[in-house]
Amino acid sequence: MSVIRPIAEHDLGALIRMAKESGVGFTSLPDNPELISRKLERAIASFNGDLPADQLHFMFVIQEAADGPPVGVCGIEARIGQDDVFYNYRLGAVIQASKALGVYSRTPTLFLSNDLTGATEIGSLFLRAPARRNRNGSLLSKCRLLFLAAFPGLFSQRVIAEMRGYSDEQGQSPFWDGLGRPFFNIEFSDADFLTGSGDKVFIAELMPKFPIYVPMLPVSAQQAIGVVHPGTEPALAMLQCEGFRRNGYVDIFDAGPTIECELDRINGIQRSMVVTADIVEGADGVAGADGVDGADRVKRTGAGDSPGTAPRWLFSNERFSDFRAIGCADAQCDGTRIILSREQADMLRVENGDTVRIMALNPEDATNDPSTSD
Amino acid sequence: MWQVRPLDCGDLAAVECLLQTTTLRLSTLPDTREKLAQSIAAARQGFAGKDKLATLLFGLQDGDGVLQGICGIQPHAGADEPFYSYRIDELVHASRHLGINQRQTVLYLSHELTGLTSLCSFVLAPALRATPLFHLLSRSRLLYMAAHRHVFADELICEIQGIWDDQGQSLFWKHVGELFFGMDFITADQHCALHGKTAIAELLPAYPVYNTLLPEDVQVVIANHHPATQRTIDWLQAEGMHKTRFVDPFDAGPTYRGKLEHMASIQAIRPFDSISKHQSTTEHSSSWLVSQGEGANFVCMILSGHLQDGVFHCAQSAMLNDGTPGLLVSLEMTR
Repeated sequence: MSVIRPIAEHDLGALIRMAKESGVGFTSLPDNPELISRKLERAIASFNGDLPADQLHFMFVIQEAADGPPVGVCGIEARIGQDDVFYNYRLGAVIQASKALGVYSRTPTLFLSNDLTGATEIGSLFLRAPARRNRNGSLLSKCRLLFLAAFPGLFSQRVIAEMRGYSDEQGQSPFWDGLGRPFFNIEFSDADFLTGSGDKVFIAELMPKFPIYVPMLPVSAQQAIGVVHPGTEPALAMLQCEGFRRNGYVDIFDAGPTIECELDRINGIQRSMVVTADIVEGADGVAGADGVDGADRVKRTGAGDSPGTAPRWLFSNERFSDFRAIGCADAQCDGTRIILSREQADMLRVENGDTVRIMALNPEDATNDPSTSD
Repeated sequence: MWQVRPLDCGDLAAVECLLQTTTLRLSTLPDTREKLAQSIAAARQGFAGKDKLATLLFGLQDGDGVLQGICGIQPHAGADEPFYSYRIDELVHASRHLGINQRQTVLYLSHELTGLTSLCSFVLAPALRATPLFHLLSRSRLLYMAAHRHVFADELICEIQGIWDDQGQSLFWKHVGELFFGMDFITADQHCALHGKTAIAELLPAYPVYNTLLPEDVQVVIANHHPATQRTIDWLQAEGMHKTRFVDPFDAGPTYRGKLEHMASIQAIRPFDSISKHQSTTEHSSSWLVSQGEGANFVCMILSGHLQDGVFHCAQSAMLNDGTPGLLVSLEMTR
């Protein structure tokens, strides 16, 4: 059974390893132990309540067993662009028209903006290759929705996610080659590292400040605007199912799209329920003896790591620094109570009568397992 | 005897003939008979002092009265409308932190040259371009300005045609203007003649253009002149005009600029009170550009003679009025 928890001091080694594995284009996990360590400290301070509201950056790790190693990571930044400047391009248009000349021309134009400053960003999702199974990607991605649902006051109503933009097999970004390189003369992979290393603001300072007329870019760069990396398509599809939509902003380096949803309208938050834990002692968490929801529905809860019974539910407690979420194949819930096995309760760190937030993993219960980062 | 004089309505057909001989673009001279007639009529109003904004048009005619050249002065560039240029400027994109320092060339739309006096509409029969008549036609305008100082601005500009290919297309236009108009350079040029240059320029992209985003062969043509304009550039430079950072928004040809009073010809201009038909034998005779008359009566020609005590001694000045004052300047450029 996979469990998700706040990142901790002792996860540093695993986090550094994941940063190394994540590769180019994954700016939130730069391959730099010192920076990783700094990120970790900030996340720990966030969970300890040691940071002001606009500095909060939460990170979560997933492990495939209660005592297993962390195999994935994800994050929530409460307010982006507070201690440095958050840049995006807004894809807008310029219209040139003259009735006398019979000219009407619409020119797509990129406007450098800081418009998303103050929004909440869900991101930093990375799952190690061997753990890309049993809907771990889904669990990792959607646990953030439960955390948002549990502590909405900490976050902006404007929730965004930046999708990794298109780059080819060699890690070359045509958008960068068309727009960034003329202004920097450095490789995308280098620029990418710099951005993740906290130097994004320095890079952005070098970017053209005036609007960019898209037709002036090479065709390959034009075609990359708003296009996600093939590996990110599942993550995009998943968040779209949750109600996230493109908002017209793209990344200044690889032109990957930003997607956005109002917190209250996020599907996963709307379909989540707060219920009371009803712990049934007994081997293997077999429940249903109380007749809740009928014993016939009960197969075997807490069996997320068995191929036949991939988790369809995500449960979480409602604690802040001791947040936990687990994936479950089934939920026995009558609308007010949820039956948990002892094992599940222990992993969730709840006792009888504690509140538990539950959410069906997929709105239609039919989304592919996202296998890689967003 | 060759002379430069204001065009009049009777010159229409001759002007049309002459325009066939030039490959240069003259947005100040439309290519339809009707518009051309309007331009000449407007110029006549200008010479008469009734229209201070009209482009003044002059003709160069040979001894038989045949028109061999045209030139013009727009007293105030843009007239009562904005005059569009791109200003070439630079932004330094630098980061001390990253050790990056890059100068970026940027083209900004500009109206700065609006209202300056523009030398324009220059056409000269090909066979005459390497003769002193080039100077007569070009510099007659300076003599006119000196004689009508109050009509013109303190600064002069001259827009030089940019690089075009053999088909008359501009590479710069193709990569800048055409993106916003969806029409090629020749079509746009025709619209300019029909609707005025400003009406077209108003549709140009208002945001600056980063040179670095343009193909390299386009960057190269920016602020470069058409080879056919070399003689004009040499003259402008000899007069003391300098190449500016302003370029034409259509073909990116360079704009030259200078203060009227700093022009070599203006500084070398001498007034004379009258003309004496018998030349003194003791004085060395040399060639001068000589002008007389105001407005529509202006005339300018090349004469041999010498100036002494306010009297211009010249044996061949039959076309000029002996008793009328005028201006002259040495045909040889002094600078």
